[in-house]
Amino acid sequence: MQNIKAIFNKSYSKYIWIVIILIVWEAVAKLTPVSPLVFPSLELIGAALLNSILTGDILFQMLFSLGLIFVGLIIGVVLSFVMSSLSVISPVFESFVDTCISIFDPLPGIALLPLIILWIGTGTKAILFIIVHSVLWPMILNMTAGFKSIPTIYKKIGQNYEFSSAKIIFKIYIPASLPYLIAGLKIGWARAWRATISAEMIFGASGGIGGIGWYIFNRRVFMDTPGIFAGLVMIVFAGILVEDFFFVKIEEKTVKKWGLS
Amino acid sequence: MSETIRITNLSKLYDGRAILKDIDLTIETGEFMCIIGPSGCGKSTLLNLIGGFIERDSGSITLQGQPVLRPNQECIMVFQEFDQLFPWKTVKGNVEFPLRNNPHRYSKERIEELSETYLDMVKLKDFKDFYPHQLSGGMKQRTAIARALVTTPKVLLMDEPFGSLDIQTKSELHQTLLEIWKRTRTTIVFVTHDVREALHLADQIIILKDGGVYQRIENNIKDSEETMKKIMGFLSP
Amino acid sequence: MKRLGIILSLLCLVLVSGCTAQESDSHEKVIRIAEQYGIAYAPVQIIKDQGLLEKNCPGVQVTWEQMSNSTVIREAMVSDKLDVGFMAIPPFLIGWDNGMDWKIATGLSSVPTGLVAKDEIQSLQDIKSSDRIALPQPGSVQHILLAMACQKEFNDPQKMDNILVTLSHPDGMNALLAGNDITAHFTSTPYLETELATAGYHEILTGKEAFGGDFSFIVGVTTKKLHDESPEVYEAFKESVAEAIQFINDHPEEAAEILTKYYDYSKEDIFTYLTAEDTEYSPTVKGIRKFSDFMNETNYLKKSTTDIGEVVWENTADAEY
Repeated sequence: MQNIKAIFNKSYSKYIWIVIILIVWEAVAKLTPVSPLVFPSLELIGAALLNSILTGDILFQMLFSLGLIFVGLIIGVVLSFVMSSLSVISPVFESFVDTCISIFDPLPGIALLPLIILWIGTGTKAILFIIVHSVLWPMILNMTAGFKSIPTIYKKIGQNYEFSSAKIIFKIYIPASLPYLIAGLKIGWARAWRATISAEMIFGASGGIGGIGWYIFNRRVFMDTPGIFAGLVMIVFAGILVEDFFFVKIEEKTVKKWGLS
Repeated sequence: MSETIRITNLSKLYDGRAILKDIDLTIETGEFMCIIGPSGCGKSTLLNLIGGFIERDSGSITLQGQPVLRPNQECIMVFQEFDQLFPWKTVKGNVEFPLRNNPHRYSKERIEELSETYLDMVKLKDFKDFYPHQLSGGMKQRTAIARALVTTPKVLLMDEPFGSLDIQTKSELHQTLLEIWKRTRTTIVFVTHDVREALHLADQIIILKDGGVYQRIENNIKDSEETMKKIMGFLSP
Repeated sequence: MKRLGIILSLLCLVLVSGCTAQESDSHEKVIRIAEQYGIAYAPVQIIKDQGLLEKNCPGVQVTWEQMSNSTVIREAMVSDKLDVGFMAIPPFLIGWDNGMDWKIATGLSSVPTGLVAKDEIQSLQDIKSSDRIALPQPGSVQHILLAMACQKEFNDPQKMDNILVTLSHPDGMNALLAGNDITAHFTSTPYLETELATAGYHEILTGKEAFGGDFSFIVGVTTKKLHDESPEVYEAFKESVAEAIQFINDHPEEAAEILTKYYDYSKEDIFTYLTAEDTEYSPTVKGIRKFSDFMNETNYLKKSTTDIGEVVWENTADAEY
């Protein structure tokens, strides 16, 4: 019992659970009378995934989606940085931003779809708009909270050494609010994925091979259930990769090391 | 001795009420001045005015003949709060921070040399690669003092820097501070509400009361019970 | 170890109960039908409104499920949540190709369908890679008709596949008329007529041209389970569809009056749509083979039908293969 507990306390316990889930999955697919159209076995999913990788565009579609998320996140980070900096400086702007957040944050991007189609159209721009909309508001909330959490004496120290405002922001404010910025980025990343997949499912390829959302949608309309799962596997895989090799590493190098987490 | 700071006719109002009125004070170069007084008497306000962190309502403050209008590098403040250190920098990184980002550029060798010197002075050489969250309160304040001194300012402003420390650590830091003062001869303005601390450290003690300088005491004999009694007498209402 | 055992057995319990929950099957007469709206589905609304199923099979319990598109209907029929659905032939064939146990029971309607484009675009040849074509979804009848036209025109059925945008009919119409990036829309009655009535838009391809003849736009599909286990309900369903079609064809004005309850159009408009030259309500299934062969050749299907009995229940006389 102790040994088992010890195993699940390790950092790789996630992977043990994944293996257990896969075993249960396969058992259900094989041992119960479910239709493979509803519950395909791992071999079928694996074959579909391999086939999509070898003969299809799934890797490029994945890169396309990740590229969109990346661009969307950068726009979101820059915009939220500007907006939260301004709202920390000016109380007038702060009340404006607060109003925007209470109006727009609860609005799912997908609910705005009819308007986006009319105003922006249906291309990559529209998908980017949905991504930025879904990441911007929670990130502003996080960044503003981060800036507000900075001890006032940090500003005094910066002034004491006669630093320029830019230097105070980049050398003191940003590292000081980094735990909040990372938390905001994590939320942004998760929301950007969701927004991208749902927008791609609706807007389709729009001039290229499309993204992973389009792949899944296509598998669905052509009733290729193992293909749907192949797409999901790719998304889960990307999610774990980014979580374990990007956010965890960043946190280890920063907030964990600084004792801020 | 020449004067470093001259304060004339200084007044500061909060919500229309004068917290400091018509203060005249000169601080000589190399002096260790403690400002004491009951809480709310404006000690910290006076220190922040000298540092240029807040604006005065009337009067003037000069630092070596130049009017003080904003915070400046020649008057570095050390705070009571432990979180005045940057958690994302090591002890050494914190001490080097003002040098690395200084408008006046320091060479790499000079930065190394200065940070080593002051880390040595505050006895933190063995802890230079520690992050603030790994330090005790006393070590944090030592780091803050090293960081304040590393740019060799004319004046060190200290706002109850040892107020949150236990007695043992406090007296260790007193000793270190006096050693540093003797070596660097930096002018120190030190605010405290602890009369014994002032008696131990200062050579000049200012008693602030009712918004003005109530008494100025030459503290020639350190830790004297007599002076203690005298001050308590002044402070009682 | 004991605790782990408990956890595992709980897990099994959850799985097993999840699987058996749906098995509680009573042998009452039940029919679950997808309810879809639109001129092409007019007989469905007539069946519901006139209680035709209840009349033809006394005691039957009818459940109407609101469903928005053929993919959802297909998924519901796979998971045994639905017995009857109405859809175009291509989505039906995709399900059949992937091993679904279902067949066509009856034809339903043919309505005008076509590709509407901005006036600058005169023909398929004028469509550039920067243009965007909106249609309901890949694998839909609109998509396959477009692929058929591309096959004829460019010898490349997938020519337009990368400029498709998946939008429902109303969203597609709004996008086209908004004048942004959508420059063409493959749609059907009544959106087709609304778009054509707007200045600046015209039809560059009709469904008939693309297909090269007549075909059933919507057919009625039932699961094997309904067909085999409840033959009298199945017969009643077929009978009801036939009666509803008969009713619309014989009394279009009355039918239009009834349909005003279900659609947001005036009686006059509905009457016009019902009696339009290109609109036909008929239980005869047309065009299966052509769709099947084309979709097989172009790899939208892995196999093609070799015998009509594979895709239509025993009433093959009603089908033009």
